[in-house]
Amino acid sequence: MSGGLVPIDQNRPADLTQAVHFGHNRPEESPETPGKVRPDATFVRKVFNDKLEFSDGGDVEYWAFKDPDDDKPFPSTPIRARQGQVIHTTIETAINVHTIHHHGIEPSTFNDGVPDSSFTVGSRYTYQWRASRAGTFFYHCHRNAPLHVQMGMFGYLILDPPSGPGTLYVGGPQYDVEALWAAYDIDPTWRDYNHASGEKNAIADRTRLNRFRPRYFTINGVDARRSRNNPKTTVRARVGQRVLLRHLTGAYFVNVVRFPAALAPVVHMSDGEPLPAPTPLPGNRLETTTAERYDLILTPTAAGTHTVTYEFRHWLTGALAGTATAHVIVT
Amino acid sequence: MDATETLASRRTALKYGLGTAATLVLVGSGLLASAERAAADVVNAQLFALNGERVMIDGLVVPVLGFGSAPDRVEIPGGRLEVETGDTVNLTLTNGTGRQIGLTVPGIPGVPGTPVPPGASRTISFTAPDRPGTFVYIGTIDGSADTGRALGAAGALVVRARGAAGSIEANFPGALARARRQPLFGTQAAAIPTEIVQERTWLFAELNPATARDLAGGRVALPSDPEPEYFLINGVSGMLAVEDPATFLEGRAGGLGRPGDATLVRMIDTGRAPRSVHFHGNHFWVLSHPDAPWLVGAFKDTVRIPPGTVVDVLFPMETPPDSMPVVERAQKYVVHDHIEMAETASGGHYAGGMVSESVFD
Ligand SMILES: [Cu+2]
Ligand SMILES: [Cu+2]
Repeated sequence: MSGGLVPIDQNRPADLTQAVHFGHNRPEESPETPGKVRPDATFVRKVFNDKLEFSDGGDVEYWAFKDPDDDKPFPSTPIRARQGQVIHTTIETAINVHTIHHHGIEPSTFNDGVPDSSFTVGSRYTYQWRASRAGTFFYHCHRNAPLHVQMGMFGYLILDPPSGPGTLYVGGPQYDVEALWAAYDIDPTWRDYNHASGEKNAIADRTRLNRFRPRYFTINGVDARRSRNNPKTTVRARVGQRVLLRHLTGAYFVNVVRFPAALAPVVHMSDGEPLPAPTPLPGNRLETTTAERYDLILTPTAAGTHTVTYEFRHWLTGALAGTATAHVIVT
Repeated sequence: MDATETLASRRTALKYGLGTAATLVLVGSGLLASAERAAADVVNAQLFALNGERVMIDGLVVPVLGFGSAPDRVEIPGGRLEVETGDTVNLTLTNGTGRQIGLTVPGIPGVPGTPVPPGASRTISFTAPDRPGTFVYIGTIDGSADTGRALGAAGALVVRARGAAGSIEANFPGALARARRQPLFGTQAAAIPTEIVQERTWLFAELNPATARDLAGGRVALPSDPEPEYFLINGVSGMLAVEDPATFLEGRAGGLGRPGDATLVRMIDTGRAPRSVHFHGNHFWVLSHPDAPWLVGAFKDTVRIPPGTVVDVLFPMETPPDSMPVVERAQKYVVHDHIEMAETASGGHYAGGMVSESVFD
């Protein structure tokens, strides 16, 4: 038997069966919020697009969410509120159709932002939920999620305990300085797709959302060569101060995060809940996959620039595809 | 028997500690139907290695080589074999293919791997471990377990604590003692489940049709590329996995911070990629993790499953804690691999891949 690959499109039906269309017969709606109550905190998130530029001179388009008063951020403008609050997040979808899923938040199905089980938002909807936990979460579009998340439609969602920032959770540790570092890898070829690519007929569309071959490897959209002193990838602290790193794996490749021993990383929480016990990170090495969050407290023991290295490993082979860096500058 | 009855029966059986292979043989449950308890500590089962075809969610027909519990029907994945700690397991493997077929169970030493020639039959005997856990049996095809996994020759092997199917402590020693969560809203104490009310086993697999045709045609070594085109849970994907009673979760919701039909989900990744499994609606407790034991007892919403390994989690089925107004019932949530490429089918169609649901009655 020869080893030649058979063309993959032979033997396929001309039309996909109805079964494959899970999630895409949902109406585009802008309904009223059921059981709407007076919120304790409100956020408006408008969809916009812009460009990310890299040290090799290249750039890519991205889509994201922003507060109406914000400039053009990347990642999306964070949402920050307090545990116990009733929260309204209003999405304004501009010209296309999107949703907001508050990842790790567990609201009613109607407010979960998943097209498959509720609806996509035609122009505007106010998601209502109450924050049961404190911790690190994120929000992202859940429509055609492989594409829309890769295009950049995500941002941090941070819930402080009722006492506010400075404490991780009720009864949890305190911190002096905070860093929000999200790993994000970028396949420029996915920018050729449109919003709906892969939703109707991936074969006819020549959509290959199973084929992710990133060329840029970033923290918060910043590649390694531009990371030093960039406020998105650099945090400053004094010896002995407690630096809270709220890590988010926004990458689709596997991240292996390596910390210098001088940062003495201790993991306190993951996905918005405390670990059974604060855990000194074994081997100062964290392996993590898409959408996980880890909250680590770094307590630098020496002055200097301590660089955290993020390896991006191929999702199928585990081979090292690229690295990004972020820095703790200690005085 | 309709799906509702199946689930109810299964739930009842587990609740009363009758979780043996004999009492849980139900249509569509994913169990290995040929398994029977021959004595208090002996399980006999038959596995038939067979060639076959499988229709993917978009209608594409691909060749498979897997196991059946009868000589006339290949099952993808192979049926779940449920045993108890210390059981003697006698598996009669009958090879109905033209290839050399052996068996390997990573993590269980002493499973004879000698291949069975085409047309032959052999009984493979081994002792189930003293430590309960979730394992996978994989067919080796012409000596290659990778080929077996790529063609669908894999099934779950569940080793339960003897006589204690519903006990978290007996099945996952130490995990419950480590389990932790913060008070709801910062003030309200919340519970942790104390027993397993029901179970699911999810076997994740990747399939590339070109590779499958090559492998089924006799090519042994797997290529490093291209990417898989189908991402399966229990042999199905997309809406089919959402509607598969052996796969989706359904149960009675508890209250706010109070577990309902707490569901053990045994997640086995037979693919080349890791999985990053995300449940909507509830966090879940990590009961076992192959390379990050410090996560056992953590209450997470997304968990990494390294390729070729198992992660066991407990989904409490409590009232979705962030709902406002609070919803008690009639909610449903997706659960999916968050490595988004694995949510596709046909090489790109979303959401035709590794996705299912949890239904709160
Ligand atoms: Cu979107
Ligand atoms: Cu998510």
